[in-house]
Amino acid sequence: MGLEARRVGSGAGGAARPPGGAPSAGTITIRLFSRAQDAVGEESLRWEIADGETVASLLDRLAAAHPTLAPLRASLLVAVNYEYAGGERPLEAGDEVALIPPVQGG
Amino acid sequence: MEDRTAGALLGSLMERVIRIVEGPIAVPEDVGLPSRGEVGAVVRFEGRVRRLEAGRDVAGLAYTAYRPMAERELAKILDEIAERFPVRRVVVEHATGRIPVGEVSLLATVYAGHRREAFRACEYLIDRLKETVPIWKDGYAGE
Repeated sequence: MGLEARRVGSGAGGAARPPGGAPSAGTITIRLFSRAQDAVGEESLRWEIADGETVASLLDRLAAAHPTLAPLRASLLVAVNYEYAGGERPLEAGDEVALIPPVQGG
Repeated sequence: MEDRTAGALLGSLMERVIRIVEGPIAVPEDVGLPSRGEVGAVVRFEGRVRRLEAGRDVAGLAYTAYRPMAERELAKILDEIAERFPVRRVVVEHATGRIPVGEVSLLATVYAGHRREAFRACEYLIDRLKETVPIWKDGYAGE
């Protein structure tokens, strides 16, 4: 896999936008690795977020849009802008979120 | 000088090298001693790919890294080492891409005054790397 090659998708139709017609608060990039990448079939997604979006609400929407992610969810860690983050972490336009399956370095 | 201040000073003097590189890591013959003769112990760990991975024969492991975060997490681990062990220099190199069986995917070298902190810091480094650094491996078959 080329280190710089990235395919950016928007995920399942319509689900990449905030639910219920809520106004968009901007877009974020979602990086997917390992089995999360396999489950979704993309290395990277660009999604719009709503005001008050958090890591937890984003994961909910991702799992709804990509049901193959749901079984992985319990083992996934999430990073925001290269730092591990909890579910309550608020998201802002321009953030880079990464789905981190169990790491396997060394 | 208080112990805490001395420790912080020594920690800030610890040399750190972090490399995430494509392809198998070449293990240098020259261990690269820092100068001034303070180093009495060099512990070098080579992580090599095994043929049997998760019950399955592989030709090698393909490593992928979330590079910017992997570098940050490695830097944090080196900070932790500097706080805990009187170590002079740490070099950690992790491979990405295809690493054939027998080749090196991880090379960690710790230089310290004495063997106790060199062994302990090296073990600490590997243990922490395996907990937090966003790198993944996937077995591949031979052609």
